[in-house]
Amino acid sequence: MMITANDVKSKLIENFNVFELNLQEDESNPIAEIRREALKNFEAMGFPTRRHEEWKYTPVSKYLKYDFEPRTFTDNGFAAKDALPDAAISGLRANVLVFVNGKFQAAHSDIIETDKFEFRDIASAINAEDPYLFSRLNAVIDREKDPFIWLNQAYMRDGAMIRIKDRVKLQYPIYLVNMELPSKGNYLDNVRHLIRVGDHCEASIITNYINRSGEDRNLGNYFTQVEVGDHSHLQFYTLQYELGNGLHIGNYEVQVGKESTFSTFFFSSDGRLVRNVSNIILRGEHSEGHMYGLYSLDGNDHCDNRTVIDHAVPDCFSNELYKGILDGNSVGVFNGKIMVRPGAQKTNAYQHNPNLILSRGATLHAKPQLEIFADDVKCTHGATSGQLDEEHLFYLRSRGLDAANAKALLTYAFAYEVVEKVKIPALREFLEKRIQGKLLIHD
Amino acid sequence: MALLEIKDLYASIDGNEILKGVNLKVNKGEIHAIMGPNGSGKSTLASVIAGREEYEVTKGSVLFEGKDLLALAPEERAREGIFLAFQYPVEIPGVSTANFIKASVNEIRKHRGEEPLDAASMMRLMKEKLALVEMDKSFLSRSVNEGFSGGEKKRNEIFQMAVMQPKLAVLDETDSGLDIDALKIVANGVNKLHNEENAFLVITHYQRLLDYIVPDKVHVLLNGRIVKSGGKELALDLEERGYDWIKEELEAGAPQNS
Repeated sequence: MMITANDVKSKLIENFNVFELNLQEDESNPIAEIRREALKNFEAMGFPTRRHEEWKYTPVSKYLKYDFEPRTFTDNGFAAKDALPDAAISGLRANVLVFVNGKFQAAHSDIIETDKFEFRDIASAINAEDPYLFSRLNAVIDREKDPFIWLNQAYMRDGAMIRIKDRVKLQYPIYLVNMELPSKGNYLDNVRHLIRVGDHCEASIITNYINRSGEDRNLGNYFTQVEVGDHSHLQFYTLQYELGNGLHIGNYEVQVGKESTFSTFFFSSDGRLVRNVSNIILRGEHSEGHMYGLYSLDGNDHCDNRTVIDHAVPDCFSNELYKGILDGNSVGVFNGKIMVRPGAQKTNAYQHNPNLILSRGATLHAKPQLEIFADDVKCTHGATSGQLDEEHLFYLRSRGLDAANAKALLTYAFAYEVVEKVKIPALREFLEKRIQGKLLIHD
Repeated sequence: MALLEIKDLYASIDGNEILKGVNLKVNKGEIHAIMGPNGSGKSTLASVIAGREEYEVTKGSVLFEGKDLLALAPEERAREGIFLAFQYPVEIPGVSTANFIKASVNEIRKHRGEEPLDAASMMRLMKEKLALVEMDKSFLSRSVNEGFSGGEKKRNEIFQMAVMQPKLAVLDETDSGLDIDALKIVANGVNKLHNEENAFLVITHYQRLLDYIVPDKVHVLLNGRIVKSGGKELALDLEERGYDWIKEELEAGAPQNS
């Protein structure tokens, strides 16, 4: 019998008690209350349908046709030595934190700068009734919008809680590896990451999502909350090159303090269904938000990037550049909203979304949105789509490069504008190679 | 055997016939200049030789070293030894000039059955040719033509030509938009590359370039046909008298070769 999104929902609600029992959390732990409230909200909202404006071009119910079960075991067949090389970035020295099937793996993790930030896995923080954790769980800003946030809150199992102390400059990035490995059956992993960057800090964080779904599907439902203090700089990189058949939902909620800079980079190039929702709030004056994205899709990939940059106070700056390369029968969705709150004068906000369509079968939905409630602001946006320039192709071919190579080189050049913004050399080289490899450029 | 032999060539774009029976023979070691007013078909001729696909050849033939050039893709023509210096060179952000040239040189070497050049030899070759067009080494790490001035773009074309060492180079209005210093550099590059084994087809609107690159033959292209051919002095005549006298001659039925 065909399974529908409604069946998936009913079963999740029905089996919540079993999930809770498996987690073995203390009955008196306040988490129980939080989970139940979240479950109630999830039940009320249900999974989105096409009627939801925010989900119009990402018919998620189409993908919710498997008997997803929240995973509470780690993995019966997990062999680190087989799976971990997939996450290797040549030449990158980093504070590595590994999560497999939503569960922290201490044995495969390695924190170099132990004195500069605190790390705790969420499962331990729950058990210890960590006050910081609970303050964040109770302070979800965008709670009305997305049922996957509630689903995450009800079923969260583990994740990283990272706190960078004031006046700390991390020498090495924090590298969060999120790996989902196939088990027999279809599983749902709900992972929560909480990041707090203090005042006068500099840090970079790389998150890499790897989903090894085969015939059995894994749905990774991630929710990441980031707080950046005052006078700080945080670069936040997301890699989605290894999602295969997997389904991936990522919600990001970011708050940026005064005179701070937050830069986000999304590199997506795989996945049966990928949805990234970034909600970035500039809540301190003279803060900056930089948003870069490169989605390079092929086959039946579906990638939906949504960003909201919320200018809540005056004198802030934001710049967004998301570029798309669509081949095969892939579907790309871009929705970028610039919100300027009343009184947020002297806002400068820019948004640009150019797309390269390489096949007849590929589809792009682009929707820039401006909501401006202040009158002394500068905001621009633009979305374009087009093919490779014939004149450019001819130029390269007239120099002896064959058509396929010429096409690859120009596509790479299109992508490079985003890649060159990456500030970590080893990561930039990794991305260059990934993109060149996909495009078959001869060395 | 001529290096390039064009016979009764007709070509059109979007249904408009531009070339209407061009005949031209270029031998190794020769420099030919093609002159003509705007819209006479000069750039079309260059495009058809290089293989620009928007142009449809409706009649005639082009032989290169006796081979049917029109049957080849643009990249195959390049590998066989044809080079087009573009009137409007293309900017390619994100691709360094060095990598671009490396890819190009190695494709040509592969076609000739030669091994790819190792990094050191490639660098030596590029540095040597850079000097020829008086370009700094820093050009190599810059993206192809990105942010280059008009003169730098044209010099980059000549630099690429020098590295690729074609048998036949077609210069499509390489002199347009160049100041006198850049023009001299470009001309000097061409003269140094010129030898008994290669040939140049210099397409130009003005006689100016021909003060520095001395052609063996000058052809006048008018309304899609070569209507007059002569020695280098023909260019000076054109500079002085324009094209009207040729049109009048044609109407009067005068012989086409002086």
